Amino acid sequence: MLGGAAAWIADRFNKHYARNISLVAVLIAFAVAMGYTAANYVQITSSNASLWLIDYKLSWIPAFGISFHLAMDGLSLIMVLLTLFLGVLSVLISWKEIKDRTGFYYFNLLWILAGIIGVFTAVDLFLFYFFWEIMLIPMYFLIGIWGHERKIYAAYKFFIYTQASGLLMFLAILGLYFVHGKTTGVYSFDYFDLLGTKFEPTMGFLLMSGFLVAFTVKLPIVPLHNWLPDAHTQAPTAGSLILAGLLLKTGAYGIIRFAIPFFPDAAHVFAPYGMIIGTIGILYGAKLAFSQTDLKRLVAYTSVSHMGFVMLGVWAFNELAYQGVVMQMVTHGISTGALFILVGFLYERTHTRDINSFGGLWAQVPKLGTMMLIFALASLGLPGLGNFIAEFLVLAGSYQANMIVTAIASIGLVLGTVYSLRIFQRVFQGPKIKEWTMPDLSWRETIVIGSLVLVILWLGLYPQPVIDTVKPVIANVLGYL
Amino acid sequence: MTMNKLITTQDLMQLMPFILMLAMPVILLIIIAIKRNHLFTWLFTLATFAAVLVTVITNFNQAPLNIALLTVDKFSLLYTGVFAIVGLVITLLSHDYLEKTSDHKEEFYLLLVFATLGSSLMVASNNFVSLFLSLEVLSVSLYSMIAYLRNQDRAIEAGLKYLVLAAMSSAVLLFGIALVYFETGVFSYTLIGTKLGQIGFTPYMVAGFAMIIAGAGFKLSVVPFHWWTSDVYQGANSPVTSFIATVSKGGMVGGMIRMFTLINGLENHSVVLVLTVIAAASMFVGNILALQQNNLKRLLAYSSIAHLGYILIAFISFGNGGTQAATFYLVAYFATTLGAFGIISLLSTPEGEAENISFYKGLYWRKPVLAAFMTLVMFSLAGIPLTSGFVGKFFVATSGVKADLWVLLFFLAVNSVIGVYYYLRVVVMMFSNKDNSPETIQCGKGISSGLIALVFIALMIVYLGVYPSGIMDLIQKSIIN
Repeated sequence: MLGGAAAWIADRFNKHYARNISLVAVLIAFAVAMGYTAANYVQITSSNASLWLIDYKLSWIPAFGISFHLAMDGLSLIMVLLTLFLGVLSVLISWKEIKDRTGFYYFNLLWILAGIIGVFTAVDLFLFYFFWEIMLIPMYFLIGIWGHERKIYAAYKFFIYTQASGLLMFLAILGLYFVHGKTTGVYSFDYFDLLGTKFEPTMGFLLMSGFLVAFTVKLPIVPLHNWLPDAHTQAPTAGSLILAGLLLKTGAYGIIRFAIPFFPDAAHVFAPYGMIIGTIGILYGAKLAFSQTDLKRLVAYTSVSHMGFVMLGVWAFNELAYQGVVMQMVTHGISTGALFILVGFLYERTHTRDINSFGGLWAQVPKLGTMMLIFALASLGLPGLGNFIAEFLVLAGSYQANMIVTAIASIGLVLGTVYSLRIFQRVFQGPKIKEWTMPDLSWRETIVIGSLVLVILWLGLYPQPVIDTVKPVIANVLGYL
Repeated sequence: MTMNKLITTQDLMQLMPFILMLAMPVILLIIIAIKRNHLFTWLFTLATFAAVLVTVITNFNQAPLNIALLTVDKFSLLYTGVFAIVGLVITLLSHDYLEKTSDHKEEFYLLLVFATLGSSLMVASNNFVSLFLSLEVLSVSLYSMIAYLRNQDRAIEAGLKYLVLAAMSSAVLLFGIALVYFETGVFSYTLIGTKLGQIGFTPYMVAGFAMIIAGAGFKLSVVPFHWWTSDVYQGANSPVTSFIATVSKGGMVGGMIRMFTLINGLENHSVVLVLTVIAAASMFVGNILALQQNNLKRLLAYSSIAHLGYILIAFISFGNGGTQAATFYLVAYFATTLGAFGIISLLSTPEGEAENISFYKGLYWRKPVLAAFMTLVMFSLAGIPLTSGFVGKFFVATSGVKADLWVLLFFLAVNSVIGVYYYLRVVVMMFSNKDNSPETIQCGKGISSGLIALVFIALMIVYLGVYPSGIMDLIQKSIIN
């Protein structure tokens, strides 16, 4: 599948009909992934499913124990599906927004997607780092070239944050590699070889911190979240969608896949702090979201808040919380992605993101308003929509682990209600501040948003397929603790 | 060691690469005296380097040859081969450049071949006498190469600066050699190594080594011997600058590797400490000064200081795969640097070099191919995956971790981030809008020899970045025991 991803990169440059080609390419990739899932659906979700669904290995730099090793389990599969689904949408929403240098734009867009899929499937740590870096550069271009007013600043900030943390992770990977090599005599970057390496406590904790810094910058977690509002705000709509929907998830994925199974002892030590940091993230993000006047910045801070739930759940170490975390990863990708898209639509029509210049738009664009209402409700965790399931599971799980922290974290839900409703109220209700003339959603926009609504409803009403798919993965991760 | 034997044909064959580089310029000199012809001289030089390369390849698997002053083994042949390739590329680049700028072009090639000879001999030296002689062959050729465009003030200034400082550093080096000789009574590395084992590091020895390191440090342009770098880089014409940055430094690195291996010089703590401080200072000073440059050639000069700092990390972690890492990094850095200066020289006009960063504003929309090359080069310098620079850094970090040089590695990570900032600045410049860019400057059209060289370099960068095993095996085989 990744071969396919690489293939589209190659012949895409400088094509005139770049958007058509890239749409077709992503659609094909999505169809392949969906086809695979559908074909093996029964097997994947059955209770005795094997952990790894696909395993593909090629020798790369044998002298250093590096191989081109991809493998997919339930978690990867879900994330890859999400990636390709949002990938299709991101091509669709760029249809009109991007007017110049389209060839290069779509080249970057697809490369990000390829990098993200690589991150979700790599099980060789060298390869993982490789993809981790690959997805940064095109994102940097995407923000730096097609972004808004302060794009260069935002692009730098984004790149330097992630690059610095990535390098720390790289050092940690090397440290892991050598600790493992010294104790067993086998020098390998392979995930399966490295699992179960024994550490001295301090060494283990330092190495885990290296990984955690990289993952929590991506996630992002409160003291390290500074890049996010700028990057989200300045990126073009598709860029924000991919950032919120996918890039943030690589951080959560990394913690579940690498940080915890590699360093179970250190993880136990860190767990209470992790949960507290997560809670701070929830409350702080929500508070800042409430005080923003720039719509995109507002949505960006809601991401910080929502990702706090992920952080909270990850360190609770039980199945309920982990199911919640995975659900949160998927539903946040959908709902926040949708909010960014909607804000993007508003921006295309009005060329402003200032919440104070809107008001009373409902009468003019009822369809847009309805959609905004649905996703604002999703974001605040209304039952029946996906986010509710996710946040409920996380809180239920973490309650078992730490009651007080969970209780404080639930305040986040109330704050969520406040900021979510504020978006809707200020933009679509109340007195008209300015007279805008704008068309309602076009057919293309309706398809984009409609599909997101369907998915979020489906996840809210019948989340069982996702839960079944990741069940063996979660059991496996918890097995290391 | 120094047996009195007659030179056999076999020996001559093994010395062939060096003999070729000595004989061809002499022949060329006579031809020039009779009749000048740029094209012919150029082709003749290309043939010389190609012949050197062929003899290197055919001799590669021969048993090492030890004669009084030189050791021709796999290690020196590898370096000679790499230098020949670099020479070939520089020759390709020089043709267009000289055609544009100089009125007497032919002698340049003589100097180029001689200087390459000097570097190659430096790596083959097993003895302080030959080390110094080959260093002087290199330096004297370089003086005139730097000042080659004699109608430009800046070139003359740079040449003089280099002359004065290089002469100084040669004197220091010589004095260091004298001190070592004073203690041991021999010039040969191996004999010094044995002596050192008996008498240990006496104060005279330490002082001697410090001076040798200072002399070598000048050629490598590491802090605090770096003051000449930026002026000479800027003043010399681009093909010459690329030579200084690659072959000249590479010869010194190779020579030092051989010297320290045979002498066991890194057993001594104060030597290691001095090198550690130099490495750390080079990384920081180079990168921080590069941040403020608006002149691309000066920027590359400072970045080369930092890169030599990285190489020193590998050098310090000697027995732990450090030599291999240093050699690989050098090859990777060669490819990248040649690419950068190659592009500069292709874009240069008779009126001046394309060295101001603002010149590159919007280059992508004027010269997409060259801009893409430059992007690749900058990514490689910044150490981003898929390029040779990344793999080089990986090897350096690997050897550093093995040798437990955590502090230096942390500096490496910090500096990589600083580096990313200014390399990306160039990239952003090239992709920014074409409006308000300086008027389009006409430069070489069509397919030129320089462009062929650039394509080759770009392929090398990607090849080394994606599949380093091939070269690494070769390097592994050539290590001095």
